[in-house]
Amino acid sequence: MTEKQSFDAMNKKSRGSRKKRDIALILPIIGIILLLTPVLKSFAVGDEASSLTSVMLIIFGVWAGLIAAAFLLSRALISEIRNK
Amino acid sequence: MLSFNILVSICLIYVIMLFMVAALAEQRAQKNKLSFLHSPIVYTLSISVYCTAWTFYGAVGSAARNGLEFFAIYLGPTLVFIGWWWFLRKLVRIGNTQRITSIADLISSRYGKSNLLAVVVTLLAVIGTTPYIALQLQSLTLSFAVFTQKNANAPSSAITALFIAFGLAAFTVVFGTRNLDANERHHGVITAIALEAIVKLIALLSVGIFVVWFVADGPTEVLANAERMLPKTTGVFTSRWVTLTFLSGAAIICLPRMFQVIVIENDAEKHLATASWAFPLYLFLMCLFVVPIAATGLEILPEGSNPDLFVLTIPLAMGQEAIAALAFLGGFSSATSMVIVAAIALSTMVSNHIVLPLWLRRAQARNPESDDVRSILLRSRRISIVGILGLGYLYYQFTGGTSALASIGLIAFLGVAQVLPALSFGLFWRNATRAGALAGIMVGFTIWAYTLFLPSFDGSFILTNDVMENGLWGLSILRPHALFGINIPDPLVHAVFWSLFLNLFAFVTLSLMTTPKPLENLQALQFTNVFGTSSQRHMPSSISTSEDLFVLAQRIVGRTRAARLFEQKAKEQGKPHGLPDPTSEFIITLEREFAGSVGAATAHAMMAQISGRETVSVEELIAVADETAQVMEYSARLEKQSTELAETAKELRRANNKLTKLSQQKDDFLSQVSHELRTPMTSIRSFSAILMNDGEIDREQFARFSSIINDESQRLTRILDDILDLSFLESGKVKLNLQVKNMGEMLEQSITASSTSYDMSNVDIRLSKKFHDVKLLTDADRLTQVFINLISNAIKYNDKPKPIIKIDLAETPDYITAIISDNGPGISEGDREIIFEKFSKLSSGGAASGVGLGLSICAEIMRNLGGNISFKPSDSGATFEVKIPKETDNHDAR
Repeated sequence: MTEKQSFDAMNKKSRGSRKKRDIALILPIIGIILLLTPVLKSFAVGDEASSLTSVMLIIFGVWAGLIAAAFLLSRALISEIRNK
Repeated sequence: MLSFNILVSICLIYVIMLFMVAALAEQRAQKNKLSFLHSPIVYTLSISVYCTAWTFYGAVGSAARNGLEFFAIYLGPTLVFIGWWWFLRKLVRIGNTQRITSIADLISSRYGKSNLLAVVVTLLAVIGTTPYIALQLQSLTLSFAVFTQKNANAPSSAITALFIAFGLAAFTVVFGTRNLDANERHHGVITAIALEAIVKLIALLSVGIFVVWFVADGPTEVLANAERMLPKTTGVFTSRWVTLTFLSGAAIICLPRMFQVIVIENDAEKHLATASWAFPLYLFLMCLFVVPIAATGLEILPEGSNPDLFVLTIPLAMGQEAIAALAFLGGFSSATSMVIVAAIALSTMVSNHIVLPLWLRRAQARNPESDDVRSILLRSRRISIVGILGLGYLYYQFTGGTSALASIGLIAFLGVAQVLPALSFGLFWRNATRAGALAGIMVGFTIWAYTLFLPSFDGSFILTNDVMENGLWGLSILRPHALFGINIPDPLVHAVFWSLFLNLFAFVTLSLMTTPKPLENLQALQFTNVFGTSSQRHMPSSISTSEDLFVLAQRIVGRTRAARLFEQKAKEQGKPHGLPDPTSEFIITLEREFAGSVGAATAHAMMAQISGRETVSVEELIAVADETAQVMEYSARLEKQSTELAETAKELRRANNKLTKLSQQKDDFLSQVSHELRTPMTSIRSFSAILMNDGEIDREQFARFSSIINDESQRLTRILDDILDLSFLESGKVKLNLQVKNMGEMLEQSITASSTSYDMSNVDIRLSKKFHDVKLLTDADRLTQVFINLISNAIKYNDKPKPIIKIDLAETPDYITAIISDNGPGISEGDREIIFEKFSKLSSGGAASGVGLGLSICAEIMRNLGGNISFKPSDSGATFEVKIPKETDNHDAR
């Protein structure tokens, strides 16, 4: 591996970990937007918008999505954590 | 129907099982076989202590009453956990590096180890947690009551609650205070809590599955039921929804028991990574069947049934006692795990921040070595646990289940959330100060108590109904539910908004207005910069070695004093040689010694740091001490130089004054000399002119004029002789005419000589007879000249009607001293310095006719004779001492 290549690899690695950290910051913000504001409700039509079941399913859906994202993120970030 | 006895047996068996699990875990922990205990799953499950009986029973009740609002209580923690990288990770890292023992400790530590702050947070936590414990007792009692409704033999609810409280206290004391680990971890309890977490999840899921697939016909029917039975307003995305989400997010950080399991009991940061998704998943599963259970309960149970108990009553109504028992066990687990962890966390705070400081203060008066801090701590923790459960029981008895479960929980949440600004800003904002934190917490706490906590008693405690209606003192802007006249319909939203807003406002304002102390600054840096590359070094052991202490002591109090101190201490510890052991008593002594050198606060910080609670190394401290010593030494040197300079300047000023005076004298003298020379010259010139021009003067007149000219010429010569004589004496070329002569004769001759010039009729001269026995080898003429001068002066300047002049003798082996004193006006202090200078004319000289050379000549003569002349101040008149050597052989040249 030439010097330039190794440098590129290093650069890529640090950029990758920076990206992961950014995602870690963005994830709770996405969660807040989706769960605390009625954005999702505005996509529903007619009766659906105020239906208890549909709102509940929206919440469960977003919730499950967030858990899945957190799972992937934690797998990615665990390498960044100092092992004590 | 399950009998009460069977139920009690189930509980007992379950508790015994928990005991065994906890004991086993403790055993393994002691043998360092912690592979299972260290797993992130146990950590995650222990966090589920968040789900209390409130969740287990209350969520269903909340769904039946308020629709989907209960979700907010779980979404808040979910958001906090998926944002773990930014907040919880930092919190956990700080908890590890700073060896934090509780949330009160964290706040106090962040703000310069302020014990006052720790006490305030502890009290806040106790007040906020007591209703919560009461809530657990209430839900347990209610669930017992469900099974004993028709049993006449069953104990009353008060007795049941008392038994439960007692049992929980016993369990917590046994497992929560078995050891005093430095980092306050409780492996046994945590393992038991994890087991309870599994039990409550399985119980709730079982009831849910039973309800959906066995009571109802699958999810579709359940959802249709829900749409029909549950409130029409979903309660989602409203201001209350946002408030609840925020509040629960704050609670997962600030509740003492949550802080205990998330931060204190954390073994590795990577466990947090797992918990970041696993804990939200746990909450997700806990919520999955809440709505179906609520809807089914409302559908099948008679109207008026308590929705808080649907989890138990649905299986009972369907005759499924096994599922009911499991559900009961789940509720039991939820309540017990919460109470146990909360009691441990609170007892740690109470003993560390209230009991121990009080004991230490009291212990100063006694012999500090006679007690063991460890046993004091353990005892105080046990008593605190019992006390906290006692408080919870009293609260339960007092309120008697007046409020719905959920509202008590929310009151407690907002109470502890008052530390959130101080805590979260403390982690990120360096300028947050102790005063700000204290003010924020106090303000928030007061508003919380006034707008939410006290009104929860419905006018039966402190706040009366009248105050609730019309505000304090009848001021409508102080109405507890509409502060400042702003009408927020929901009391909870109202209280959250005002308490946290004013809390934050007070905190930020005071932080900006005050300046932090050095220790605060240091701690602020350690907290905000915990991920920084430097200062990550961990102290290997909690106590530093005596060598380190000795090196530091040398730097601070100096080598000899440090050595003496350590030697003495070693002797006291019974060590004949070598360094003493670093006992706490010794460290306190040292700190007191250091305080004398570097100030109490710094000494405290240094000792606190050197005894291992900080990440600052001993070497760094030594460097600080060295710097301080250097600065102190340098400033001492500067001070010395500055005093020297001041001294020199003073001398220079004196010399300058003398020079100025002398120069003035010289000018005066020159004019005097000119005048003295001019007077005889004028008379000589005028009389010689008369003799020249006037040829007709008679013989008599001629003789008189010539004699005047002659006298004046002689006087002129005398003055010039004096001047010449002086310069001759000064040059040292004078030739002494040595001969042996009787001193009495010399003095008598001098008196006679003086008397020719002055009227001696009144003058009383008292000459000591002893002089006639003294013979000296000296220049008699010169010495006589000195005596004549002194005696003449004494007569000349005397202003008394009867002048008295005494001449006494004093003798030492080498010198003869003649002391000539008079009763004249003496010499003023200012003139004393210059009387022997040439040309001096004293300011008090009055009508003197001399030209100011007499005493200068005397001084020069005595110097040439090898003696000296000096003036001695006395009360009346002037005293001169003439000191003459007995042998005069070393003087003839200088």
